[in-house]
Amino acid sequence: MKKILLLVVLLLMVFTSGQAFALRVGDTAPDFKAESTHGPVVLSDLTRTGPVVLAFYIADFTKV
Amino acid sequence: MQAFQRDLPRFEKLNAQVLGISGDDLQTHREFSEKFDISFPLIADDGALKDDYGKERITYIIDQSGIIRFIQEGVPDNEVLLKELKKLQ
Repeated sequence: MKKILLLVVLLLMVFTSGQAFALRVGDTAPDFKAESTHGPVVLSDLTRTGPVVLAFYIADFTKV
Repeated sequence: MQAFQRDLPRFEKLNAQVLGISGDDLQTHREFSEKFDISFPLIADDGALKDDYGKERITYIIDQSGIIRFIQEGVPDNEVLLKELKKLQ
């Protein structure tokens, strides 16, 4: 019985930790500095002037 | 990304900065931008951003305080994104 309980607790921990990584509405967007076609960009610099639409996509030269 | 370019004036009107991010390198991004006249920045991600933001096909709207205000998974729907941006005005 104890073993089953331990297993349940472990499974719950794995399950909830996986969810904890997903960003949600209301969370602070992780700041970053990255290279772009317009030179280095810093998220916190960009948001100072207005909202930012951050679009992750699979790859260039694809349809979407 | 071509759809964002097409609607870019509408995003700009709402004072929003559009950024595209993929695992392509800068050279590929430059060739792509040139071919399709993409005028907004494309970021070359070595995987660090994808790790932080979680997915390959996801769009975030981040407000001026750096808070995530909207998340859209899958193919971006500009009409929905523009509507959400209007709410931030």
